[in-house]
Amino acid sequence: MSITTQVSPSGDLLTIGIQGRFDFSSHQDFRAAYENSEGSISAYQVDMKETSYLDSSALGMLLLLRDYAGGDSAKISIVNCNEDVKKIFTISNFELLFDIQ
Amino acid sequence: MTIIHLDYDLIHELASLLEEEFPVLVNTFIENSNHLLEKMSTLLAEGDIKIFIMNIHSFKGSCKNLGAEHLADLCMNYETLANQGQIERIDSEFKEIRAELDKVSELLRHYMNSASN
Amino acid sequence: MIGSEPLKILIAEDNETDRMILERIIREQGYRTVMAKNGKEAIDQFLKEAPSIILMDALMPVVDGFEATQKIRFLAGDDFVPILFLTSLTDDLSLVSCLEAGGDDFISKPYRPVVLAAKIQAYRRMLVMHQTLRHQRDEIARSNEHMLQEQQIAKKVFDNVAHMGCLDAANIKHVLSPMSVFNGDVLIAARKPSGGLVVLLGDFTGHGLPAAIGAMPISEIFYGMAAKGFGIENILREINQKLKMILPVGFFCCASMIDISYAQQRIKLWNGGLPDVLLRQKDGSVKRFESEHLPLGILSVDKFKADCVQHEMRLDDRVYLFSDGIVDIRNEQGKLFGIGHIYTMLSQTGETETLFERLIESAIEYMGPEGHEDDLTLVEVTMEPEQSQFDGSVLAKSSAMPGARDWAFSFEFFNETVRDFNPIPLMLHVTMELPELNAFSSDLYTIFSELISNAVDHGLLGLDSALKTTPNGFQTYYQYRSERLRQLSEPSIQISLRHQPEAEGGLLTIEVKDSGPGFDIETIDGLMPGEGEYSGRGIPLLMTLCETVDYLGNGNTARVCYRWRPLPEDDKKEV
Repeated sequence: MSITTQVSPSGDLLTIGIQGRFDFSSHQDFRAAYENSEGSISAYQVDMKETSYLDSSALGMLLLLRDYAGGDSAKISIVNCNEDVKKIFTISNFELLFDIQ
Repeated sequence: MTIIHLDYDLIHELASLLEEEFPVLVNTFIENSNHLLEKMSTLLAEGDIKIFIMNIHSFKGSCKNLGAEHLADLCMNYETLANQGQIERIDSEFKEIRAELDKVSELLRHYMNSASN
Repeated sequence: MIGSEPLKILIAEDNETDRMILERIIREQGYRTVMAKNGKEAIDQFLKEAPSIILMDALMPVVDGFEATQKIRFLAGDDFVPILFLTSLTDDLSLVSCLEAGGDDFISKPYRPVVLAAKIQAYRRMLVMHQTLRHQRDEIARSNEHMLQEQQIAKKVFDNVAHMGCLDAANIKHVLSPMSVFNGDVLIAARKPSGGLVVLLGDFTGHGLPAAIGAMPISEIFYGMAAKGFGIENILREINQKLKMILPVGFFCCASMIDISYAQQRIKLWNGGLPDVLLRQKDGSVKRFESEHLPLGILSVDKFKADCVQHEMRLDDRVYLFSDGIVDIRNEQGKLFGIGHIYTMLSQTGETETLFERLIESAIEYMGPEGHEDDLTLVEVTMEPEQSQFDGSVLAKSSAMPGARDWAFSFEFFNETVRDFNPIPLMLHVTMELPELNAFSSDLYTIFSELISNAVDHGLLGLDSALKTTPNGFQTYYQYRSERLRQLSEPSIQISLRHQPEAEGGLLTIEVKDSGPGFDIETIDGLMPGEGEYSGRGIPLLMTLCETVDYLGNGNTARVCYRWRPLPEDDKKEV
């Protein structure tokens, strides 16, 4: 599992890409990805294009990001979800908290 | 090829290592070597080849440790012959080996005398 | 052991002069020496003196170096004791024999002090490393052992809590292995005083201890409220609030909960994050109830939705709840067992008595020999004929004393307490001092809740409830409400309760007065039940539940009268 980060040219959108398994071992790296970002990030995008697997601790980590980014006022979208990943979000109804594509 | 009766570098090392016990070492070596030669003659006579090989191997080792290289080589020759089963070519009186042992003993005594001077 | 003392080295050499030389060299280097003349002495000395390193002559009488080495290796067991062969052997074959016998290295004659020093140093370093590793390994093993013990204790505590319920009722079948509990599964069930059953299945993130800890407070809330006759929505609200409070961000509990009423022949259910709840009707048709909510412990109290789905449930209908353990089973080819499989099995007509057992069996068979049977959590509840299922002893406890029948209670709160304090539990608590009112707790909860929210939202804040009619408006409404509450100057709310006994049952009068400006009483008449769908409740709801609804003063005092009659034995009202 590896994590990549990219800040948009405008400097306010942070894209976090997750390659491989997104599970409990990803905790530290994922946190570092958003906690260590410089500048003023006002929106986040989590790119799941290469995410092979997602479990409940990954959901928990997304909740942590949401809390960090302002809770109810956070702007987080989760993009490029494959069928399996989408299914997990659907069953947990996370589209009520995140913008899922 | 030069025959090295005694490796003096090694002897120097041993002398400084053992200090006052160096003479004990030398005398023990000489005494034990002579006993061993007697024993090995008997072993050959009794046909106890395996034990003979062990003894001459061991003797060879102790010669090396005292820097008596040529003596060690002579032992090696007999060890090889015995291993190859050519017992009849071994001199059961060890005349050559005895001569070399005497030579080495003399050199060692000489060394000790000059050291104490 | 490598300590502060010099290393002890065993020298096994049969030749006297060789022995002398070696002993001197080793001692000069600062080590302690132990001597042996042959293999047998070497073994004896090893046992007696426990040296750290051994210098072993290959060819020795009595017992030679090879044999002695093998023996010593065996005796040393797990310990690392470097053995260096002293040899004038030079051929590879012989050297290999030394290694095969268990030797670690060779030292050839003549013995050179420098070489000996270097080798002994090297092995000394290895000894230290080996010791450190062993030490660390033992530490870890001890730590693990400790943790396992703690988990077992936690599990025992949890088991005691879990078994307070009625999971062993005749109409409930369940599977909940110890490993499932370790994986965060919680299964609790209780009977309702009004006749019926509530069952909650939970699946915590962060298995093991965190789950066991989370299970404790929710079990308490569950059993406590169920016994008092609270309905599923209330119990869920309380549990969600508790979990939100105690769980760190990122931890939550996927759950499904059912509330079965025997009298009303219906089931209410709530599913937040678990696989479909399946309802198999007697004719074999299976209804699926998907997860429609976020798991418990994520949303704050004002955002949490306790809305349940309702469906009829008749005699011999069966409902199934399970955690994702059974759904995620894969067979040896990697294919998923899935909900589809379960659905298919349940849809078959025929014998239903062993349906549960057959479901489990087929799951275990599917997973094959490599599978883990220990992560299956599954429960089946069958609709029973309506009888007095309720454990009278619970009611008896509260009706051992006659209870408060003729009383008045009034309570007022001000300023930030208006913002921070929820008076409903207190109001319910006081009201439930009359045990017969337990059966109506759901109605009363709704009434109190509506009166308080009207008093705050409309009376004090003057919020426009039209905002609540759109999905986004709901969120905006609550945000706006929070802000406005903070801006109020000296708000207050006064609650008065009066209960008067009647020949049968009693009359409860509830008055809620707010310090706001009031409103035009005439405008409420226009509202009909059913208007304002999204806000759900409204004054019309109060009118449905209460005998009378009046507004006094300038509209800032609401008074409702709730008349109740004890429920006849064969027609228990749903709670």
